[in-house]
Amino acid sequence: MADLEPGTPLSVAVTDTSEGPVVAVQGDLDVSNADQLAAVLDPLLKQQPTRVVFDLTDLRFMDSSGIAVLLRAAAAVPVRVTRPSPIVRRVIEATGLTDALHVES
Amino acid sequence: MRHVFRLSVVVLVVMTALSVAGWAVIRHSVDSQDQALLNTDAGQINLLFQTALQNAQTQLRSLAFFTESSGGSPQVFAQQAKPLLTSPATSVAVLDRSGGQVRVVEAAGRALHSDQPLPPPLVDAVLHAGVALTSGVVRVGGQSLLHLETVLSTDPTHVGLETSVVNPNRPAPNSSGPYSRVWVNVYNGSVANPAQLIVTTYGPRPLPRPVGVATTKFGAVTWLVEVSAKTAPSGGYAEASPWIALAVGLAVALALAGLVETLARRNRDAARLVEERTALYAEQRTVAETLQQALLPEVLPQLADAEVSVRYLPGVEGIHVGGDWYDLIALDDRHLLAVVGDVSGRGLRAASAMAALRYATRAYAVQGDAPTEILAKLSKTLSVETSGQFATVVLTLVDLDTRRITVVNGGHLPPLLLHDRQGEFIDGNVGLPVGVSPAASYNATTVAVPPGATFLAFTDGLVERRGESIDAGLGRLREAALADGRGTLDELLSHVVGTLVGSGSADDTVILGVRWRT
Repeated sequence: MADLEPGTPLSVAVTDTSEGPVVAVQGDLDVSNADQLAAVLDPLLKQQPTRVVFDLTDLRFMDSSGIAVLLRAAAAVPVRVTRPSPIVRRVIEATGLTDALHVES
Repeated sequence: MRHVFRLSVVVLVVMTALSVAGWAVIRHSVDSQDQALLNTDAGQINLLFQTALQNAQTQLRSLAFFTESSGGSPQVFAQQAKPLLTSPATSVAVLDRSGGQVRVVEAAGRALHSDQPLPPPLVDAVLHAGVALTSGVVRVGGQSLLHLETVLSTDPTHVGLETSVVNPNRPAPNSSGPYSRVWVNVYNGSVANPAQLIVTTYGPRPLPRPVGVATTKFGAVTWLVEVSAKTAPSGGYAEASPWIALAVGLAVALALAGLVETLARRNRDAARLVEERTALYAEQRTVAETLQQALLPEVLPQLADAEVSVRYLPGVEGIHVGGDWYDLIALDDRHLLAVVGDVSGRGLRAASAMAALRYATRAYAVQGDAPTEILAKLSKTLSVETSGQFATVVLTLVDLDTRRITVVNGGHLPPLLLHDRQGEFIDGNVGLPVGVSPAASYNATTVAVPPGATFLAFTDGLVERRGESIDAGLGRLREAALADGRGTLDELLSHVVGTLVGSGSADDTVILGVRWRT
């Protein structure tokens, strides 16, 4: 389900805010690096925050392995996805997940 | 004189200490590298067995399902059993265990017979069989039998059983192939119990040390894989090198030179071994690919009023295949269920999830469930929360009598309907992918099919490119499909795949077509 052409490297930054952690994901999120995001999220989710916000402003590409990581987080705690690029927004929409991932309109 | 003597003792002690230290360093390097290589071999062989077990589970469930749903038809059983009876040592059976009694419904092979009761040592295994595959080794009539069994999740009274004669006293030859340089013993269970030996190339005795180990776990099956080198994996020179270093310990400089030389050689050896391992991984990919292709239908149904065709292209990059699959299920002469799906992730795990979904879809379809019900039931069989995997699936019921198609979409890319030089994506009612929520429900979109129309369902490998919206890819697909309007359906698929998928595309791709003849 993934395109394995080399993409932009992934970077993940977590900022704590009064409304819970904000996870900013940048670059290309795919089958080759989805585990990196999962490794950042696992300890975060263990603390049972009231909500996790995914800031996807600078996410260029996301494949199904990336979506799977977001879905796992959404199964554990309430999540919100903010500012996805039109390309990423369209992928989430085509996969029928706009509501399940609480994508900001 | 006394002074000189003391100095030589000091020199001797220092040199000896250095030589011994050199010996220990090299020795340790040789041992740990040998161990790592053996563990890699054991891990690779372990994957082969996991694939075999996955295949066995799928085939046994199909065998039990089709035999049970045909009311025990010997023809249906024989047809389903055929691919399992690969050697004279193998036998298969479907058993009915209702009421705590085991009855042989149908059996084939030398060890199991439909007109005789099941050999007593196997009765217990059949009574305890679960949905997860189980295995064991028992003695029957002076022979050791490996047995594998699984029940139908939809009907736990029926058990599929496969047995295979194990002969540890006659080791299987492995003089050629990638594993010809190692001895391999595989045991049922997590310990090396000679009574539970399943496969051996060495015989029923402990392998010479050092031994690489790996544990195969599949369903409720645990197998222990042990691997040992026929000769020292890194070669005779490496084995002898510590002693050479010790002997040459006349001068510290010479000893160190020997150490440097040895390590350099070891690096060269290591580079060569890494190359060999890389070739093995390439082979492993072929195993996963073989599994995937084995699970995809070989023969497409033939229909009087419609032409069907499919292309499946495995991705070429990396060692893991993807989880794309398709199926065409003829429910009767006039109704066809077309299935196209895509499991997230890659490799054997994706292929395993794909196998489970494909089998379940087929089973629900054959028992008469509507496509909306099938997707709702599939949603209960996979969970992204526990497995980290989900799947997008589009089911299309083709009704040749009413000339309608009913599309039910679980998060998959929309199918394309081509007619009268126009292409229309059927993109309504997209529900959740399978694995997101066990409570997911689905709505169908029904479309009337104009004469001579062509239906295309596909996976994202066909249209997805980095740095552009999938709408651009969907547009390219529509354009390519409309550009080739006069040939056969087969030619259309070749044209579309040729136009959209570059050579050496990384992702795997499925495209399935149905064309109405009138």
